[in-house]
Amino acid sequence: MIELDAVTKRYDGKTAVNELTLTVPDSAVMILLGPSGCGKTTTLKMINRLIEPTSGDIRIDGRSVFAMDPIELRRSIGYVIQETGLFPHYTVEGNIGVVPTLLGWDKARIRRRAAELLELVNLEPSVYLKRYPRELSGGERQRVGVARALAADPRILLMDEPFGAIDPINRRILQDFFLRLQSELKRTVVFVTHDIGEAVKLGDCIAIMREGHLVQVDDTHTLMEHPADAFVEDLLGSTRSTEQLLYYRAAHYADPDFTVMSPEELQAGRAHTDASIIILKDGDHIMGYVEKGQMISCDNIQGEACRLETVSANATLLEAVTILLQSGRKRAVVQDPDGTILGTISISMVAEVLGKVAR
Amino acid sequence: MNAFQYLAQNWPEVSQKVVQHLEIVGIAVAGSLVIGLLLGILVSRPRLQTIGRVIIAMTGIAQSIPSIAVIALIFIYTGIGPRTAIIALTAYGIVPILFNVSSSMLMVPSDMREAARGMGMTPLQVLMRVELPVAAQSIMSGVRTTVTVDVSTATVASVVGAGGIGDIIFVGLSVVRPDMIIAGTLLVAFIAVVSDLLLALLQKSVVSRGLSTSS
Ligand SMILES: Nc1ncnc2c1ncn2[C@@H]1O[C@H](COP(=O)(O)OP(=O)(O)OP(=O)(O)O)[C@@H](O)[C@H]1O
Ligand SMILES: [Mg+2]
Repeated sequence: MIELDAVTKRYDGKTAVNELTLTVPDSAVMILLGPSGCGKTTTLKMINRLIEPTSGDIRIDGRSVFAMDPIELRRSIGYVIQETGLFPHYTVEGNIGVVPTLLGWDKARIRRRAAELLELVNLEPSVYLKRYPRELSGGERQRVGVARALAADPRILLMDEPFGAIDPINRRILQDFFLRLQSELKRTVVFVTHDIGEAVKLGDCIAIMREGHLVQVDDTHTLMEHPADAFVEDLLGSTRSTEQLLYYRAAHYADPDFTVMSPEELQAGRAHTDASIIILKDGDHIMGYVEKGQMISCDNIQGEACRLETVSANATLLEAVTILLQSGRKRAVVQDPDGTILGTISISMVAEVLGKVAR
Repeated sequence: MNAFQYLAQNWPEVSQKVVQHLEIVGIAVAGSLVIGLLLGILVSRPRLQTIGRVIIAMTGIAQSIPSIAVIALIFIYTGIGPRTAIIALTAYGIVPILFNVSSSMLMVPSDMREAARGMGMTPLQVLMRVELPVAAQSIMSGVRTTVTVDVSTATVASVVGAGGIGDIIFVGLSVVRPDMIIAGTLLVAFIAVVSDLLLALLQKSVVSRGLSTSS
């Protein structure tokens, strides 16, 4: 648990962060959201003491960070920043090994750990261990950045717009990847962003800041239902527009009325028409979808023609619509980071939500 | 007699001059490197960066001072002998190293420094593991310039009785022996080329492959 207690940072006369009090529960992802210059980065850097506050206290698990050695404190906290974070003169292995080296691990252990982490972030170790950052794409670099922050197995991660410089499509992939990772590792994360979609998608809680003040901190739904003031409402874009779709997670709207069948079962004619059917091959490969009451034909179960896209459960409705439009299909499957199928989502269901908003 | 015959016939004496020459250059380069590196690191510290920029501007002017003027000035205080040459060359050779060290260190992105600090490096570790390696290419270029300049300037130092290959050239000049002048010149050029080649190899091995722009 991280507690910020009336933390203030002043730069000769100018107040960057003002009396900020905030608690980040264990294993939660706390988003710091707000316009440029509102003090997000300053707040983040005070937690690992890259910036010393003017007043106030910060505690980790009840212990004041100011009672700790700053060097040791930083080695125990994972830190991810945008782009330039990787060291250009180190290989991927060297970069991941920075903190373990500082902690005195031996070479063999560092190599094992680096390989293990690359697998975790979906990069083939034999290909990537010996590469230099300039030989990686932006998305790959960001993954290595996350792997590096996890190297010494810290319980706390500080992330400052880690996916900010990535194009929208790859950002979505990295966000999904982050969610999968977090559902597995359950770290305590403070995550800075000014992308509202990202905040809603990744955050358990969102702290909204303005000119150094904390305006409101709540879970996403409460924030939507009860914005503290006009500023929050504005920031969340509650003017009625397609942005509305940013506030709802696909999981809330997934249609759970379906049964799962293997292609063999289908062919054996064991299909019931009173529920829609998701065709699943080998237990995890989604092959297709049969609408409720629809005739079952070979087309339903064969080939690319009936492949369905999947939408991450944490994705916003806007993302779901984007995926649906890009795939050119009426429906997509909503899936948990761990692979559980929650249901399906369609354009018409999204339209219904929009209809309610418009009233 | 041509230059090669001269070298062959007078090898014992010539080789002694070559050793003297290498000694002067070696000591001076080492001195310039230590002082230039320390000063360069010092003025690139965040608190001293303004001074750093002033110094970088001044090194430009310093580079335009003729080496003979520096030698003459030092000679007034330290007199005849290799000591004068070594002090003068050390002072003169600081300039390219200091310039390259301070300018390249100031170019290390502050984000990168901060990432290093944020991961728990001590200031010394940030310097040794991030700043110096990232600036290595430019620092090595500075060293190569200093070595090249020192190898040729040490020749002039013969006028203050420092010894070295300059003696051969100046004697050649006073007794009008073109073969001696050419022999001395060839030796100096040869040493300059070979040392630069060796340093180029060293540069390649100390600069990380991750930093090179090619391939
Ligand atoms: N070293 C400094 N000296 C003076 N003022 C500073 C310094 N660092 C930050 N500030 C000011 O403090 C305020 C908060 O800065 P901060 O970097 O925390 O903003 P931010 O919320 O992260 O913004 P962004 O979204 O643009 O990254 C800004 O107004 C900034 O100008
Ligand atoms: Mg910021």
